[in-house]
Amino acid sequence: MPIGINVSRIDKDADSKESTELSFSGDFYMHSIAQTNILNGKENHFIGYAPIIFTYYTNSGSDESRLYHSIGIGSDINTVNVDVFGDADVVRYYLLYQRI
Amino acid sequence: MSIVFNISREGQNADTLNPNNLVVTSNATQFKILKTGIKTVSISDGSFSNSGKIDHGMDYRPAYLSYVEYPDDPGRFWMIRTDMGTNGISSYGSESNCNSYSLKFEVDRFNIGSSGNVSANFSYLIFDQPAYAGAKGDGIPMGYKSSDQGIIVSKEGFDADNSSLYNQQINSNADYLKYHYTRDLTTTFNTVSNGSKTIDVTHNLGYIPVFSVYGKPSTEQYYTMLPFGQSSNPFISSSGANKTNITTNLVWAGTGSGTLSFDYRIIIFKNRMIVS
Repeated sequence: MPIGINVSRIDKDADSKESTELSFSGDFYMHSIAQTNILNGKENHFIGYAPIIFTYYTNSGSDESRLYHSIGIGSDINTVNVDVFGDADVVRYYLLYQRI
Repeated sequence: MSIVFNISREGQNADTLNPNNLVVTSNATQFKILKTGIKTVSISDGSFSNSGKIDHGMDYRPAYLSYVEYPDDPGRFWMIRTDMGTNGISSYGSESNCNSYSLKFEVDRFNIGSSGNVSANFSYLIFDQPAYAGAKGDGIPMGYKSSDQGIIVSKEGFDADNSSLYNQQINSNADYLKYHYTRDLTTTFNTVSNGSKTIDVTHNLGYIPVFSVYGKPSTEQYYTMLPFGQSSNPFISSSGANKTNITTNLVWAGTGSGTLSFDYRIIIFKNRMIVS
């Protein structure tokens, strides 16, 4: 794929293919495409593929100010499925640009 | 929000609001890495568990990833919150969580007794984006240095030169999660009796990459991020990485009546787990 944009690190070559020389490149860029809070349940994400998903939740059974990550949360091509167990409650999820 | 710039996938029109057709768009938020490191947590002789913290200094609860290297499996970092190691169920367990001040790591050894001093190493990546709604604070961690070089696109309503990092859509000075490639893995096993399986997928990168693994039984719909199985699920599965392989463990209880297939997607990033 042709390079769309490269920003090199200081004193490095922006034409490099090495990620260590580039601070930014469209060649391996990955942004978040959705983020929201959700209780247990399902939400349509309208992306058209199963995206990488990172999730964080509070646990009312312990210190509620603390956030834990990624238990029982998944996705398919249509839906984010939140099925955490026990005392977990509000979940925040990030969907990332690349598909699972 | 106004488009500042778009770069489309090959063959696609860049003048679109569909992010699936775009490689880079200033309309979407970059997942910037603000801090990485290793935290060692030691359990002393006679104790079963211990915890340690690192202060992130951002005044809000940030998104993060963390991994653990257990004392009995040096050189391999497992996805956090698991009690699985290379040989199946590990003698150790782990946990991590964050609040507005720190990232906390916990390790235990309830399955091996309390004799001797042992240490577990936790690697972590802290992102600019909040892990919960309502971020406040400056969004800049202790020790972070920006640069005059590069591209910054702020979110609408914010000054690109002065906004917090989490209010910037793109900042080419910030490190970020760099996607490398995905490996598919399918394995089958007999559900009639209890069992376990370990599968290596070679990456041969020569360093331990940041990674993420998603899996599901073929009978289920959703890919779920590992580790899973801490509930009533008859499956327990986790993955770890060293410099050559991604190792995935699957343990099951014999509650089924035949062969079941399990599908995994292994996501490997260009980012290194350990930055020296």
